[in-house]
Amino acid sequence: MSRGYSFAALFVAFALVANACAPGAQGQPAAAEKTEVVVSALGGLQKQFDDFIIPEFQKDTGKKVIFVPKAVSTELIADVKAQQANPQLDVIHIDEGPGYEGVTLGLYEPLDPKLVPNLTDMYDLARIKGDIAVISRTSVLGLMYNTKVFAARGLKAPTAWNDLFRPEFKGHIVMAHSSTTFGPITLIQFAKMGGGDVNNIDPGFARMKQLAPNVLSYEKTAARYGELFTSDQAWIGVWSNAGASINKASGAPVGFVLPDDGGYLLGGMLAVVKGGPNPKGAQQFVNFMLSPKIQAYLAKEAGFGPLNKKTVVPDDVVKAQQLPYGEDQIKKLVRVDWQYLNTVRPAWTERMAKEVETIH
Amino acid sequence: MAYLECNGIAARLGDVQAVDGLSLSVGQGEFLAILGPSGCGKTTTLNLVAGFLRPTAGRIVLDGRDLTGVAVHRRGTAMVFQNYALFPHMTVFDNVLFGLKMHHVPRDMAGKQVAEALELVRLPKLGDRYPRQLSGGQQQRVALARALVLQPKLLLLDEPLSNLDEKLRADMRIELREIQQQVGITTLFVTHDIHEAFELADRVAVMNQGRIEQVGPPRDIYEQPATEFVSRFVGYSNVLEGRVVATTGRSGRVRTSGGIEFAIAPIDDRAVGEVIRVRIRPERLILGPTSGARENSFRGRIERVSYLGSLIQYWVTAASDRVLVSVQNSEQAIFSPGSEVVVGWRSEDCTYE
Amino acid sequence: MLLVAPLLALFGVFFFWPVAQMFLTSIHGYSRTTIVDYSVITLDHYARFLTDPFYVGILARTIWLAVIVTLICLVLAYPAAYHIARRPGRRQGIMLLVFLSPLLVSIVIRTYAWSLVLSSNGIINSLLAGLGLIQEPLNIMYTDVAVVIGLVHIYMAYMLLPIFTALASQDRALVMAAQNLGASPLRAFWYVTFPLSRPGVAAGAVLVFILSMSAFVTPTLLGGVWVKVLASMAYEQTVSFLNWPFGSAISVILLALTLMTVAVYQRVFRQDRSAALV
Repeated sequence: MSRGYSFAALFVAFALVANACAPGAQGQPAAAEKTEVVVSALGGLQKQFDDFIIPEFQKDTGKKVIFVPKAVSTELIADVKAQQANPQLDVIHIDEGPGYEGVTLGLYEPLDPKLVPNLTDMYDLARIKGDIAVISRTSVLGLMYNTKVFAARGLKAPTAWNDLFRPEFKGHIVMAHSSTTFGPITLIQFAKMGGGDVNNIDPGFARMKQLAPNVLSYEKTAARYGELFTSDQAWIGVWSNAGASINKASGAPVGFVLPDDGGYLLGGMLAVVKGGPNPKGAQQFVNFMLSPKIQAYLAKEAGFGPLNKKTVVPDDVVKAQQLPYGEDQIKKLVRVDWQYLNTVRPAWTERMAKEVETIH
Repeated sequence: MAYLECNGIAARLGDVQAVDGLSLSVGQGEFLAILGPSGCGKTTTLNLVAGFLRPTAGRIVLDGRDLTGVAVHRRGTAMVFQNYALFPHMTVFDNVLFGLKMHHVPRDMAGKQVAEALELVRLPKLGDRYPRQLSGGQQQRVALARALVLQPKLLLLDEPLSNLDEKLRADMRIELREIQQQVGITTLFVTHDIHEAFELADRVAVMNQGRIEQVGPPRDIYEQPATEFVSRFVGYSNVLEGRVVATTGRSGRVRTSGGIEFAIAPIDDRAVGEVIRVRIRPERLILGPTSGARENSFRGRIERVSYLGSLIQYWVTAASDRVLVSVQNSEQAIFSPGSEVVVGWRSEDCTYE
Repeated sequence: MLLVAPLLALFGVFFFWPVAQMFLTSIHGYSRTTIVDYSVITLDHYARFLTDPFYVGILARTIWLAVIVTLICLVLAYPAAYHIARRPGRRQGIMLLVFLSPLLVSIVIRTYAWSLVLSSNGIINSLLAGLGLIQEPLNIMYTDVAVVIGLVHIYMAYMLLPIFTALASQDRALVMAAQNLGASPLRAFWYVTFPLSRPGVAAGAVLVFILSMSAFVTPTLLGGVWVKVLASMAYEQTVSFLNWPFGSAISVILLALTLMTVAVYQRVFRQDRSAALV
């Protein structure tokens, strides 16, 4: 009997650790046929894919899209890297930051302007050297707040980053974890508020420490933001207009403000996976995503600022989604250098863990 | 008052009235066997005495002490379980030591007593073994030693020999009896095996459906069964059913519907005309070609012959009556089926209820 | 031997190969352009972990949490298992089902439910505040306490089942014999029932310890960034930073701890087995 127990224990131990640790061990979609394009993106876009993108693409090209949702962008890149010898995905659509990791790792097939004619209609900032990928949309980093709690308590809506430091928010602030795309940008903004910048980040950490006692939690996923705001645990947090749009759509009582003292551009990258099962379909899909039709749709439904110059978005949508729209507006937004940030992100995260996340 | 006195005890197991107003007395030093078929309540009775069950009625008194409400571990009884229930994680020595430890006997004295107990059951060298390293017979002895070492007021044995093979069982019976006599311990022994009960016990209590049917020395039980159940349970009985046709003093005559008429004695409580079921053991019937030296007889025909070695059994029929006759194998010729024979018996070999 | 070949093949593919790969990754260099630099063989990742009090602290915390969770599970599961094992057969099934039913709900959902219960405006705080016992909500969420509560709930069944199995398979005549020989019910339990249930206790403890040590979802959701454990560190390095060599080194350390636990268990019980049982 005890021999049976120990064998079982050993097996469970192995299975657990092996599964927890092996990168990319999750289930992978079956190899696609040429009429299918396998696209992976954040799970928050599931509805938009199901409702519009997949049927429209089928209508336009006769090709079927298989959508593989992921919780965080970095996980998606880890998957593509893990599958490098035998890629299962054709196109990935992820945050710009992790997207540049894929550039560094050489995971992408350059875009072919012949198959992606919409490239020529994109703003300059959307183009990446060698068209190795493309920034297909923007959102902005700002503050999401709980409209229900604010109304109930008669709180003044936030307008600036500094509002995070209002004492009445103690215990109800959600910050983006430093391992996410938003975390390092918040650090840079905090550094600026303390007289530093991306190359002088210490003042950022100082402000992070100052805020830490008031923080409810540091989160990584849209789902957790939704949970915390829906259950009224969270009153205010660092988040994007697009993220707020997704949370709002799923019923969270949230509003979003673009702070006066610094709006940051959050790019979303589209890239074709090198060696993917359907190279031509992949290029077609990227072109499709860059078309004014889809850009306008995502602006309305997901709060994504279009980067195709020809996209027309009605004023009410721009206002409702607080979109960065039009060349002037987009130019006002601050852009961070992800190629650089990716090199310092691990160190910043470790420093956050050692110096800031110990304060409760 | 007897040493152990069970007075009208009753117990239910679920929906079954397992023990139903049982009364029993056991004298000091006596070896009493409770004999009965499975489900008759004999093990339940043992559990009541040991305290594993609480009686719903009645009283148990041991050596002048009322055991009602006394916890198992304070009763001073020691039980040998059917499966021995040796502690598998303890050595033989520790198994036997266990009870002494529970009774706070000083270690050195206890050690000596354990050695003596193991000596008594003839296992002096196996103290370091674990139970699963022992044979069934050895385990049985350890269980016995474990119980005896406490010098209990009462030894309870729950079918202790039933898990042993036939040969070993026969040897252990003799040994068990010797040890019991040597120690002189009062013993309550539960079994469904007639031979075991008869060979070991001073007295046998036959139990059926939660009650004692008869208590007595083995010979009384066999030869003077108080009830038909007892009679049938301890051996085969021929039954001749008829009516009393005459009584003279303490004897009388009975006639069966098939026309067999015979004398029966004593017959105290039956009047002429009453129906009576008379029992006769097969070995008390004799068989001959013509009327023999017995006062009762009838003529019949051999229906079937079973040759059992030391015994020969005949089924003999006459009109509507049919009896089994058991005959010692001797130099006498064996009757063949179909032979006309005369079956004879004495009036005092008849019993009835 | 032929019959176990498919199982061995399965093990090879789904277990030994990934583990070997993980180990190999952990002893190679890290490069931003290729992730694993196979031209460099190094123990730097292990050194980085073992020389940094931050990471050693996480290691200690991981073990500490697993120990606490194991002890609490044991204390709570043993009486429950004992109680169930003493019921009649049919009722045992129903009661086991009740105790094991949490297993039917995914860990993520159960953990999420706990986060609602434990939050500053959750059931516990509302109740205590409603009773006037507290003025300010208790900070349970994002503490070790929250993580321990969550893990105990999730892994209780893994402790309960082996203990139940050990107790239910015990011959009840043994306890009767012990009491008959003069042991009070308490001493009969201590000298007979408990020692004989030790294989079940040990198996349950090893399972819960290993599971708690490698838990990932529950510490992340209930502990937030404040309760860092090895598994979440390994995940962060592997997935968020694509530093597979360092992530693998952390995983190897976790695996080594697990194997050591099983080895200790084996060792103790090989000795124990000679003394007992079944």
